[in-house]
Amino acid sequence: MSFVSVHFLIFTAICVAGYFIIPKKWQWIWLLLFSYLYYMAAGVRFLFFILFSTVVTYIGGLWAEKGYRSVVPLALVLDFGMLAAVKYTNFMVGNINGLFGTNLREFSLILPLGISFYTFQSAGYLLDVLWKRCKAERNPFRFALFISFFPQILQGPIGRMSRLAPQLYAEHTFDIRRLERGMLRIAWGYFKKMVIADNAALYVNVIFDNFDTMPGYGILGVLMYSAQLYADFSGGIDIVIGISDMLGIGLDENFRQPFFAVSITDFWHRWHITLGTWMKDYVFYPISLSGWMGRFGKFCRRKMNKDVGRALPICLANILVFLVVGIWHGPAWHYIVYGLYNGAIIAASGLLAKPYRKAKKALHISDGSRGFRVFQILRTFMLVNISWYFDRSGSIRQALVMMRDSILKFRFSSSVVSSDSTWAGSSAAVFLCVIFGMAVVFFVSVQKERKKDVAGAILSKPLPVRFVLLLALVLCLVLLGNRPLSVGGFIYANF
Amino acid sequence: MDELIEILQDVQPDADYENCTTLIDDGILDSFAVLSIVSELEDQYDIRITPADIVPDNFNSAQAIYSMVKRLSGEEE
Amino acid sequence: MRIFKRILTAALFVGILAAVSLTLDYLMIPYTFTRMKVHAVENNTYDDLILGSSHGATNIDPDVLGGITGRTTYNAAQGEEFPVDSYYLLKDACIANKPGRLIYEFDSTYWLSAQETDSSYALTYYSMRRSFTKMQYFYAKMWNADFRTWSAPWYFFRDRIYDIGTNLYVKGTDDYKDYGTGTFESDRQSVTDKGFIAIKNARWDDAVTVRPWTDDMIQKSDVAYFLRIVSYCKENDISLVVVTTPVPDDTYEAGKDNFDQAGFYMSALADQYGFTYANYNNDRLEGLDTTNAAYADYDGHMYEESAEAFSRVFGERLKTLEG
Repeated sequence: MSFVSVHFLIFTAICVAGYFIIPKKWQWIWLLLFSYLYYMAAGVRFLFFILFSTVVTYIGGLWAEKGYRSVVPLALVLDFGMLAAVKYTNFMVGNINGLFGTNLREFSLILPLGISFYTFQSAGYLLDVLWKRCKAERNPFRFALFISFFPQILQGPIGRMSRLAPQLYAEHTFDIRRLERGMLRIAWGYFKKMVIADNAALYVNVIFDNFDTMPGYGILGVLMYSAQLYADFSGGIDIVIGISDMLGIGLDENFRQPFFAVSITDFWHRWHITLGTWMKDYVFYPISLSGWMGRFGKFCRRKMNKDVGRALPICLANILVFLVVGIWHGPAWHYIVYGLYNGAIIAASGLLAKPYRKAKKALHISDGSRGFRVFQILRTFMLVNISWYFDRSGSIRQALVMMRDSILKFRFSSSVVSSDSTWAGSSAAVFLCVIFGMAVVFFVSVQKERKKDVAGAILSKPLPVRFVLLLALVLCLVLLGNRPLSVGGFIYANF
Repeated sequence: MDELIEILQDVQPDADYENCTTLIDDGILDSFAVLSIVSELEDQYDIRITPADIVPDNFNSAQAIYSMVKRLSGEEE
Repeated sequence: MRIFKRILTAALFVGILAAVSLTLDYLMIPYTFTRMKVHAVENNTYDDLILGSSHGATNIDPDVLGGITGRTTYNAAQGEEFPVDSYYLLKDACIANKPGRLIYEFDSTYWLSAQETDSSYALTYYSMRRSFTKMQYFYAKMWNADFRTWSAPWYFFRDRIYDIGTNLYVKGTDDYKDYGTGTFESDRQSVTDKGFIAIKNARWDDAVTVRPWTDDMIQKSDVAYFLRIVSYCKENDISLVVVTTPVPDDTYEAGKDNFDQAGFYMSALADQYGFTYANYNNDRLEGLDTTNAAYADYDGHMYEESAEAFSRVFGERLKTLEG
């Protein structure tokens, strides 16, 4: 059920309307019902996967709370084992075939809907119970809702038991303000998706798919990919959060103006936030605080300069985390490089923090100065765009070739997209649509960065103003949005 | 306590540890800093800090860190 | 009370949105063959109804067929009409005007790719009158489509903003109000009141492109809807004839295997389900001009005269079937 389909709109409207009509004590059952309907619409055969995760995690949580701590690793192995089995079998088979010249068959498996996101959520829950950050849920059906809550199952945000579950089970009264807010958020999400992402995608696909026959457009391609990925993913999340808002359920934010980040570390605090905090809490800290890492740390501190000795184990843990992030993005070497690239930059900046601070002092640069901040933002934006080469390319070789050609054969033209697939038969129009969309997003982001509540400001305007603004937003979807090339495609829905 | 502030200053100098109670919530200490502090604390006070202890409540202020250290070293005695 | 007021406001907004969209529909959507053809099959009973793709529309002249068979014939085939559209158009016609025979023109290329969500995607749906069939059609086509397809059909014509003047003029004419053919008259083509599109002297330059026909490329939904057409005809006592109109010789030579395989596939269905299949690609007739000169393009759209010659051949074949 694609977010852009008629089907989804009707489904959501019925879900929201029914939620406030039925007796309040049934509200969570209503959500569970719709979550499973949503899941089954993708394919009844995928039910097995989510039920497996739900049962394993439910039992694991209960037993862990009773004191059988060793059940947690077992449940984690089962949860991640299933994810790995559907996600990585073909990668392994392909590599084994490549290494040993064998001819093992690859499996034709379609990734079950949302499997990454509910696996992460399950694992987080198990560790939270183990570390006594939340209580295990006793009611299996309530627990099933926590794992399957429908707007977020497709592409996150990854929820935490302690924050999400109480809201899911609580009784909610109808609140027209939340409804309006939610609707505005949804329209905003569609705006990003249709006006920016779907138009930018034309450029990204042409440039990355034909990097060898029409080289040199890498910079245009990667900038468009920045626009596409951000608009697609954060737009999708806006829709998810908007729907939850209408139901009175507040989800964690997943994006916070990522392109205003002043460092790669800061970027990951603003981009796919729930993945970042998940990695931090459940991978980074446990690795860093594990026994062997502790011994390694002591060793380093004894043998080396105090600061380096202290930072080195953290850097190592950090690189491991980004290795995991890379592998999660997809079973391919270019994703692993993408992850390690991020990890290496963060590790390096951790190691160099002190010398860097000294250098700044010596040069009389203050962190607060506007010029320096702009420099930091541009630098980070550049580093992030370099990482996209690895993310979007089909192979490491492609990424490197495109980078080389971006400089040596630099070309930039709005007319690389075929005018057949564009509106008004003009590629310049598509280009302008992306620019316009990004300009609007930029304006809104600046306001948000200044801690202004943009949605609140719009909703408190006089009625005619609200009417005109919302009408303009909706008309933009139709007027400036790219036509649907293939229904359904949200990038992160495939993870 | 003074010893603790010194450790904090060494890891991340630009913060007001005497008064700030939102070190984590406002992102003054990132995960890098938290772990640096943790490793210093472990060495200095001979305590063991586990992932379960890494919650904002334990790191939001110098006072909170101090009480965590006291609690953990108390448990070990 | 406050909530009531707010809901009213929301309704007002939706109302304004709908009004804007409908206005734009009126301004932007031109008068199309589809509107004319759907209206014709909904309001007239024909002995023979022709459905299918643009090849059917330009290559089969119902007046010629009717002259030979003595049956009233209407050509409701149109470009971008997929089996799903043909099926619901047939059902729509049968609500009040059940034909005696369905002539389904089979263009194999349609079965090889999913339908594009373009301006033709929604037109048949929008031209239909309200009915239960239309609701089923909605479920079949709009349910999983992008919501803009359903809520704002003008969206497909947004790039033709300069045509608003023409549209406004056309929509004021009697020809439009009477579902006439005059609007479509140009020096390239004319349309008869039986739905035949006669191509005069236009030449569309295109290259010979032949899509390979392999069994795993056949779209399941196209086959499924075609089979629904077959069983619907059976249940309603409508006899069914499937026809493939000939492509130019050069095109046929370029993709002989593929055309033959597609023909073979349809022949197998014909044997299995018991309908007649007339394949003029396999069966290249003596005396029929199928050189490039007879066609407006390599794809296989005939000029008016060639279409009439072909229709005579096809008409004779239909006549023997009745006997």
